[in-house]
Amino acid sequence: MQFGLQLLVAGLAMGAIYALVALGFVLLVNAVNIINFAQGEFVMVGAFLAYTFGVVLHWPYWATVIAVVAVAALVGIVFERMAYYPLRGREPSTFLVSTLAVSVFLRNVAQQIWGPMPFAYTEPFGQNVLKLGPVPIVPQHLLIIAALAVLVGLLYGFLFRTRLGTMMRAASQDRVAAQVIGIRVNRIGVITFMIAAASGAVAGVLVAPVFFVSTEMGFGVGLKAFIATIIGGWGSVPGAIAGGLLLGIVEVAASAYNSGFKDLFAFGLLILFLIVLPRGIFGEKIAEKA
Amino acid sequence: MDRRSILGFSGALLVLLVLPALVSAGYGIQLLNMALIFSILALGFFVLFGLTGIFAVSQVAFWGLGGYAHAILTTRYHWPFLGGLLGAMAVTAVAGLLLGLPTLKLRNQYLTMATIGFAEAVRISANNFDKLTGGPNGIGRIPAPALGSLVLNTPVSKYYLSLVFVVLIVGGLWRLQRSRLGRAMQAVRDDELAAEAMGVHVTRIKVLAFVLSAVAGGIAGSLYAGLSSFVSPDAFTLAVAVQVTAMVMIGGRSAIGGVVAGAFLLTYLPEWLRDFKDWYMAIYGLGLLVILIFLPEGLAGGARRLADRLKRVKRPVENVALGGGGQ
Amino acid sequence: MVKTATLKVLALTVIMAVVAGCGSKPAATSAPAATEAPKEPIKIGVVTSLTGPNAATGIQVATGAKLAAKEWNDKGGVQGRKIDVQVEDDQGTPTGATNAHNKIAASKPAGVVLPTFAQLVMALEPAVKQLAVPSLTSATGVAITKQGNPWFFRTRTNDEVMGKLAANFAADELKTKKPGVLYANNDYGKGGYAVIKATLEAKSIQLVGAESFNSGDKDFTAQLLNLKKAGSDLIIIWSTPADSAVIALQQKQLSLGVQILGSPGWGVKEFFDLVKGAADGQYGLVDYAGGSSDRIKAWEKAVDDSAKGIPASFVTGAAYDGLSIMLGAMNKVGTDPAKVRDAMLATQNYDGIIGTFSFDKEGNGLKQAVIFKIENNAMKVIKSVKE
Repeated sequence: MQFGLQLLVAGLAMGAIYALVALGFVLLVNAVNIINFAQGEFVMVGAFLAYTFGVVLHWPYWATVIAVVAVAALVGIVFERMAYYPLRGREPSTFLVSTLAVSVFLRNVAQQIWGPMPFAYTEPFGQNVLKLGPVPIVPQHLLIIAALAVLVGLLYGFLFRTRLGTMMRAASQDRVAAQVIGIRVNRIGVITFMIAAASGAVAGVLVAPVFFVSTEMGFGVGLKAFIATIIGGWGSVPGAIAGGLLLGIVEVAASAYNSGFKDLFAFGLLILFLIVLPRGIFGEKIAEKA
Repeated sequence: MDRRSILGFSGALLVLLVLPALVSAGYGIQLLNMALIFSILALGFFVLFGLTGIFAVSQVAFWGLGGYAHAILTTRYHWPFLGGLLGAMAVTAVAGLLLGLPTLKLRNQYLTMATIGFAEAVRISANNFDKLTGGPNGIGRIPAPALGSLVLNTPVSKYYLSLVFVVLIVGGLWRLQRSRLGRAMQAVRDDELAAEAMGVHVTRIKVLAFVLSAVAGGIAGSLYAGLSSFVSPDAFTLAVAVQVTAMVMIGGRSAIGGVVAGAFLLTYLPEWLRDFKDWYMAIYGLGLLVILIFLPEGLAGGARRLADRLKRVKRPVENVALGGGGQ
Repeated sequence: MVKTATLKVLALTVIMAVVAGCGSKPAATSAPAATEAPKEPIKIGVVTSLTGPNAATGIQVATGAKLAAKEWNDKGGVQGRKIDVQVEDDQGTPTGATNAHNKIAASKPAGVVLPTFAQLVMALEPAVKQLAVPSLTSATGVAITKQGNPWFFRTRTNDEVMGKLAANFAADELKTKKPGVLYANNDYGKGGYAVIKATLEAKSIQLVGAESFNSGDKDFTAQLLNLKKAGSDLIIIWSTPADSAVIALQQKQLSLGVQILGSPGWGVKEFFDLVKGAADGQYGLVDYAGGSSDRIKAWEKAVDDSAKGIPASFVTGAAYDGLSIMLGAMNKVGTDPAKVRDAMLATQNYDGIIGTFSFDKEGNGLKQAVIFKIENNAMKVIKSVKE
């Protein structure tokens, strides 16, 4: 019982991390309808920035978070100008290559700036553990789940309750028509990438105490977040959460069952899922373009 | 084939034939060998993506399956080279069928994801089924390719062996692109519903494209096993899958010659950049991006535009697909 | 249509020409310099990961090798000849390693330092045989020196010996009755696991559980809890430094409460920098436990001076010691590969930084380990062990 409970907690914690990163995917799908395979690199950049501000410069946690968001938003602008803007309107597969090219670029630039050795970043809780009855809970996991809830609320409200959000979704559905009715789609693109990069970087600050900070920390979690987005339903906010949590739990369950073949189970499940339920748990929110 | 195409094809072939004499014995010839193997991989992906419009990221899995099939058959069962090659082709054909059938209905990101999953599943299996695959240590001491008593144990002879396959595949694709089947593939790519309305058997065409691209991957795997005499799971990672995709996209997704050029360029680009030391992979990433941005139709399209400008003749824009393939 | 074809041919030919031109460069540039024959520098090639997932460890190899070369150069070189180190990135892939090795081979090195990852070294085996110069590696995969390839020299204790020493300590000193193993699902982890299992079984101790993980995994809850549930009184963990740190942190956060005996990944600076005390109270074994003598402290300082932020680890030390031994051999017998090999094989009781080297016939230089307990986030040496 306690064993199962601890596994569930671990699965939910990892799942929340995947969901957190998956929000960036969902945002980009809703606004510009591309898959950004460099979303994981935003996580990496965020974690390194947190190390610089928090550990090297000794800034307090709140100031670190603000600074990370600000710098990451700038990275988002540069990213948009490199990997999206010059290629907008091209077919989706182009962005697989363009975003992965920038991902290689970011990882190697990070290695030159921060060096190849990994860092520890343990703010704000250090290595402390809470006890919930017999089950140890890592407070950082609770923070991640709370942050996920807040970010989901913000993103949901933004996409569906604000003018800018509505314009974003319109621009994603039909770029040309959106332009015709006066939506400045290029500006919207920039804003979208700023938010995507910032949300990825916040995820980086949050997972750094769990993953440690290294140039390689982003790619794996980016891929998992992509899987979560697919499982949940392409472009769906609740889908990203459901997909992330499901993936986290499946992974832990598979590890408990047979750790050597864990990823084989996870990918097998994914393929099965795609065949049986190709539109994901919550269905596809983005109409397919001809 | 018209006269000029034949001329062009022979010209490129001539260059490829004399290249080994011009490069350094170890480093140069090894790169040429890899460029040819990547060309075969990319040409396989061309059938799937360029001709039929299916965007799958699984080419690396067939490369790996072919390599392992060849390695196991030649080292454990002591099959001759040709047996290993045919075995690799058979295994990948079946695998292509098995992947193609259930994923047919998937589109865009779903297909991308399913094929990434497949590629990872193949690599993880290679890593875990130790008895069959040697696990993470891989399989070594794979015998050099031999045709009867003729043993091709030098890199140069292996190069010419691969070149034979590249020429055969390029020729085959050239024919395919202009055949009924090839036109049906392009019809599926351009508009699936319309193709179906015209009486094209879409499912059959798609599965066939999957199988053809898989078999090309199998050939590349077999040649790679013979070239390096060693296969291990690390050779068949997602990074390679993306590299093959980039080769086709950067070469020009609809032109056979462009695909080969893309394979050569992306094999050589990181090597040229080595002199930049610490920053070279960052520059490589940027380089990819620059080509993608400034050559929307890839190297093939870029070369065409350049020549247009040189001739100062305005020609109507042709359908790239129909104009493609000029080797 | 016809024009298109021709143009494409043109483009392709141009690319081919460029390709050909560049490919032939190494051959062309390596030709001169032969004019001042006696003072020609000695080329040493280093193939290692400077980019990609193994970069953190790979750069340590380059750092150690460069430091050894620098010290010889400061002393006036080997037989009056300067040492020229050429480092090429293997990108962490077999293809990248082959390209890097070929590039180095083109400049005719007198000796080579190979990657510290066994699967890359295995991919290079045919190339090493063909190049036929002494080639150092700190990869510990047993298979490397079982290939019958006379050019491999291993500068660390191999997995077989290290696994045996770990199992012996677990059985004889920690008196484990119900050991469990957690290992990385790669050549390193699997190799270690096989030896530990065999050694313990020879002492009629059965493993109560064995779990694995993929390098780069971030959650080990299921594996650790499975081993605890199986009743392990000791978990032997065979993992690289980056993974070890995550495991160490999680076992503490889970309040696992099972004694751990860690692989050398648990005995390096980068590990302690990350875990910040989470591994206190655990045991480990490592080739080299650091700063015990003035000589080693001076060396650690030299590493830090030569490359900021790169730790003076057993990887750095293995590359440093290995190249120092090789250059010493060259100083005695010149650069003829066969003579250098024989001189290196004859090396006995060489007092290096990470241990005392005596090469066996297969080229294994080191067969020892240091057992330590982690106290206050540092290694406290318990004893040195030999096979």
